[in-house]
Amino acid sequence: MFGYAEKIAKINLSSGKVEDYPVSDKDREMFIGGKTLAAKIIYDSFKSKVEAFSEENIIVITTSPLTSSTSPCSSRFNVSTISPLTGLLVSSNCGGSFGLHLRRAGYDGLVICGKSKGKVYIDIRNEDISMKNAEHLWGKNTSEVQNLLGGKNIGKFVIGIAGENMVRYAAVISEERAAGRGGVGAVFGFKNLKGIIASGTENIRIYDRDNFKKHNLNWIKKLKSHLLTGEQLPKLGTASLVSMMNFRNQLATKNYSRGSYEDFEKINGETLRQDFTIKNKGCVTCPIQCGRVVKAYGKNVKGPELETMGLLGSNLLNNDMQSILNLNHLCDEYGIDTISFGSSVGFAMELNEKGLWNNGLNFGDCAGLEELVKKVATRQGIGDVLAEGTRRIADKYGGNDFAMNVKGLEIAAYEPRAAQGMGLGYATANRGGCHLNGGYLVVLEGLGLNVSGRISKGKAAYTIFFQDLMEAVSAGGTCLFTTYSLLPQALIKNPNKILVRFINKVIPSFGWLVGFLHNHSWLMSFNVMGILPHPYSIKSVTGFETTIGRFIKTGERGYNLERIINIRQGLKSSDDTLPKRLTSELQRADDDDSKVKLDVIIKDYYKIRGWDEQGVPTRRRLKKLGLEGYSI
Amino acid sequence: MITVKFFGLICVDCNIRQLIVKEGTVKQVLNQVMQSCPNISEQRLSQAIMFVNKQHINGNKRFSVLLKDGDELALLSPSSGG
Repeated sequence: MFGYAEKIAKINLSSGKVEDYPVSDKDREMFIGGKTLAAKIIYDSFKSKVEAFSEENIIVITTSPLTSSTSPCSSRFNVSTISPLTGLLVSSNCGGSFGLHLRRAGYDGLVICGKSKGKVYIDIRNEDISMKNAEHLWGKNTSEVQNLLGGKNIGKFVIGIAGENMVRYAAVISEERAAGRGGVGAVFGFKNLKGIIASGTENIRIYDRDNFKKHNLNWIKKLKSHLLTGEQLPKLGTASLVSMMNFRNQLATKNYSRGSYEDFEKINGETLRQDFTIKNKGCVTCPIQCGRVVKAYGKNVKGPELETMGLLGSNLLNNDMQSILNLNHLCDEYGIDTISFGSSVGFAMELNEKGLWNNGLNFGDCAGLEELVKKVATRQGIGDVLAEGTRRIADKYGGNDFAMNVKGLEIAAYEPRAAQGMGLGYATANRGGCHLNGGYLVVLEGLGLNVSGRISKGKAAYTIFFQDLMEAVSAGGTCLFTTYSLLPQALIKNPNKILVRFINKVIPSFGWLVGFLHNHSWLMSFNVMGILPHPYSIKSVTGFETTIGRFIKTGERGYNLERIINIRQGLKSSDDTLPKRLTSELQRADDDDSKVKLDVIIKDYYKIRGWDEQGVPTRRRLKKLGLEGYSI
Repeated sequence: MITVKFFGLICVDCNIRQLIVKEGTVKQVLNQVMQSCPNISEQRLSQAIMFVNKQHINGNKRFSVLLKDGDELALLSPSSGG
């Protein structure tokens, strides 16, 4: 079959047995790869609820047809499991080179089950898979482990000390890139798995190489000529959003008690570029190069993303850029998700301020934070409590109304009271409070286009559309940043023109049309490079008859399947919510629209999704998606 | 005096973070910016998203907003992708 290695290995850590995991051609066409194919494997593997820290839990690593295909921004790969933070399905995406090397070793993915008795790592070389002793790697940080596991042309995917100690938001690292969200690293640690390495010389067969090459060149040209992907992201990185978010009251500040920070200029993208950036860096095959190289502890290391700037900066009232760079580097070294860490610390600071937990942590007093990263990773002192994440800290000390998580996963740096659609996205995202899985509607609400973030009209339909689109893009193996080049430049570049202001004003009124198209995706049975290049790339690589409509339907299929898995894991509609601070406290005392009106928009959301009032996908919807027979 | 601050690509491409100019309407202040920084075009300034003392101003009437001593005008270029 074109576009696939046609092999997924099932590795049993308990028995040491390695076998092929069967995936049919029909499954590949229906789920493509990445997180949606992983959801299919996890659905099939469990018959009932599974605990994150149990031998029954599995880790599924999946690549996609575009991984290692030379398509732009396509080095992404996915890792899914049951999250120790949420108890639900988590899919975490990574830009390191491991996925690319896994494909070269001859595998589309890995299904890792059981639990090893001793400390091990998995070694994959040209289809040969073996488990090796990792005693000598235990207790070592992620860069040191990767150095010890080999040189160039080997893909590595490893945990740090936080994963070993089952910190509930431990990450898995490939090069300097993290599969950060949801605590996948803790599941590695529970299974006594320090990491995986892969290398090989296999090439993936391309269905229509000539058209694929031509299409790639056009796509790269499009990315490079777009204001966001060709200029803003290369020049300023994602951190460029700090300033705009601050002016729009969307920057998580002081544990989300407000949306702007008086010292934002000390920690924004402009300051990062001018005073701290050494050079740009990016993933393999990426023409955008949004990454930064900065100095921390005397070394050239990966710079922080926007989320990290927010959660370790404004959210803690930390105005020291070098401190953020150091904290970001330490989190990567110990293997810790910066979002969940920053949110847990911010929550602990507010608990201390309110006298609910005397922990010595204070907003704006960030001198001890670098030591605190170590304490979390090694679970020492208060680090042991912080390592549990905000939901479990609230269970112990109270403050549930301002424990900033959804379903147990800490929310990202966008303060949603000034971005209603982003709030709905957080509330409904399958992996919990995630901005990307939530649909990133803030891209319409001031970060890209200029639709008002205070109104809720039409936002349900747009949120669903973007959630399904991003799900599909992830399944295909492309970086989500490629979707920004789909926004019409004329609308972005000229925000003050009368026509553009009019369009921004009426966009919410067209929610009904977006909802209609969502439910009639066959109307988009065509491919137009200028609208969406991704399905054409998948078609060129695999030979699948992929159109824009089918592509987005694949995303919807994945989203619904993940929902079914989550309901089986115990998810209820009452979990599709936000911390009370965001739905009940006004961000601005003089503005009644400055809270997330979730109760209004979530009903529309369920209706357009084709879910019942309990948030369960109806049989009719599942049948429409080809998921008949998939039940809770 | 008025503090004009530059953010995003307008800051990077024109290599300027901040400028102090005399009081006047937004239009007059932007004219002073162009005189002080010849590499900033009128088109670039007209495309910028503007905030006066953190309050968003838009539409053609934004040019006639009067800036008083101590006011801050922020000029931001559009940005996305986090």
